[in-house]
Amino acid sequence: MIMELRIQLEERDIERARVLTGIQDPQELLPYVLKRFSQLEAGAQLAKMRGIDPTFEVPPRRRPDDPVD
Amino acid sequence: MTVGEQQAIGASPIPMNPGILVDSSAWIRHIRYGDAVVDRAIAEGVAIGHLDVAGEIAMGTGDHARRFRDIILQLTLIEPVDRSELFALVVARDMNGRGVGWIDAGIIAACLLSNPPTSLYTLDRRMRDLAEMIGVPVIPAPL
Repeated sequence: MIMELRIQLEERDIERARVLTGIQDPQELLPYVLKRFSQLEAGAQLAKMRGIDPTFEVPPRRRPDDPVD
Repeated sequence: MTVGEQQAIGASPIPMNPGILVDSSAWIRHIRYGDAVVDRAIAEGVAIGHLDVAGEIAMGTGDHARRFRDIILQLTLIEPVDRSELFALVVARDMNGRGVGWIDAGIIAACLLSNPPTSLYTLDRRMRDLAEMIGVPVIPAPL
C-alpha cells in the first residue's frame, strides 16, 4: 500500500544520505533509507537481546523423535 | 540533470548487501545464550528475515518472547517462494527424503531464488546439507 506524504526535511540530511547511498532521487532515496534503517535498528535491538532469555522455547518443527544437531 | 545523475537514478547504485538468512534455530540460540555468527550478521546489518522464521519465533514462549517476535518481524524479509513454485522445486531438485520438512524447504528455496543469492545460517545439520546440495551458500555452524 502506498502512502502519500508531504513532509519537510533538512537539506543536509538528504545530502548525507545521497552521499552514503549514491541515490539522488528522493523518491528512491527515502524508501531505501527507511528500509535500511529498519534493518539496522532491528539488528541493534536484537543485539541487545543476546542471551537474555534462557527460557525461550518454540514447539518442535518435526516429529519429536527426530534428532536435530 | 547530468548524465551521471540519470544513471544513478536508473540503475540502483547500491545493491542490497548479500544477506544472511538467519534460521529460527540460530535466533533461538541467540536469545538463549548468544551466537557468534548472529552477532556478526547483526553488526554488519546483513541479517535477513523470513516470514516463516518470524512465525516460528512468534509461536515461542519465554520472558521476552513478545518483544523478540515483534523485532524479528522488522528485519528485511526475504521474498517468499510461492507454494506451487516450491512444490515444483522440491520435485525438480529431489528435495525429499533428506529429513527436511516443507517449511524449511521453503526457507531454503527463498535463499536459492533471491537475487543476489542469500546465504543461509542454520544450526540444523540436515537443513544445511540440503541447502548446500541445491546450491545455496551456507554459513558453517560453529562447533
